[in-house]
Amino acid sequence: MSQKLVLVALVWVTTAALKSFGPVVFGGRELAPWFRRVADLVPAAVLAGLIAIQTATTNGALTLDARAAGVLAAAGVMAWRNSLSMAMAAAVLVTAALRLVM
Amino acid sequence: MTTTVGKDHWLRLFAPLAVPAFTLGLSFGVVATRQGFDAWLAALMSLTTYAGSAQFAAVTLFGAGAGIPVAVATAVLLNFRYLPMGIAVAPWFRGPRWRRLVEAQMIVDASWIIAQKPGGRFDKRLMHGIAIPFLILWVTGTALGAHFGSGIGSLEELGLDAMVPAMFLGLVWPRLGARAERRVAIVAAAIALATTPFAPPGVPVLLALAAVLAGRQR
Repeated sequence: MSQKLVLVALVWVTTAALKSFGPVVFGGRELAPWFRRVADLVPAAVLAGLIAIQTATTNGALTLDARAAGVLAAAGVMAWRNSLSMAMAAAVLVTAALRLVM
Repeated sequence: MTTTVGKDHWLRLFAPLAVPAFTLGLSFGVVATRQGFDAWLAALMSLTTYAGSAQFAAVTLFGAGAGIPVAVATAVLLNFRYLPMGIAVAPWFRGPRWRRLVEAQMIVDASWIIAQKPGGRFDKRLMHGIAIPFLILWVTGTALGAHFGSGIGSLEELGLDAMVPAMFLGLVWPRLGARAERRVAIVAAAIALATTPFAPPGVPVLLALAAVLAGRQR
């Protein structure tokens, strides 16, 4: 038990440090114009990276499976209806359905 | 214009996230108990760490006998994106250091992206408005998943693993209308995929940040 508690504590402390480093060290400072331009592009880069990895990789290897079809369906729904709920539902349904038949 | 979020507006933004917050928590609870974690400890981890992918990785690695250093190091790598993410929104955190430290804990992928406003601005109140209810559902889901673990089975087969990328896609979608951001997103995805076979987990997302260079020229 104590080992697991140590693990939970260490993951907590490191995560908290990573999340708060920027706000604690640079918080409240004025923005340089170049910083603002870069910061505006960071969300697209981070999210696209996460989406690509969670869609098309498994344990460090590139894989193409039912998930990719599910995420593609989600993209279709976003283009068609712009609904986050419907996009997630489509992703889950398409992925689960494909797994049933494959 | 104020930064105050209207109730209708907030509900419209948060409602779609309620299902993933709860079911992902449920899924983490199931996985954690399967690796021998007590329900209270799993819930405590969700409450304190509040970063899904790192929690799944740390618990699974530890359960597989990897040892604490490897499990923690992997979690750190997976969470390393929070460093640039935190720096990108740092100017919007004000007040004493301890307050910035506490408030920064509500930076999670979903709250961080929703609180981004055009022109590199950031709505910290909205971040809290999303992150706090998300946290409540995430912890509740974890506790229930850990408690009823064995009866729930594998949520992955139900297509849950496609829900997270679909959620991120839906959240980033409005930004992809701009050409510069579309270009950044495509380059970032390409970098992430190209480096995944060689780089440790978490690092491809950091390398993908170089894609912001692709959006520099207007």
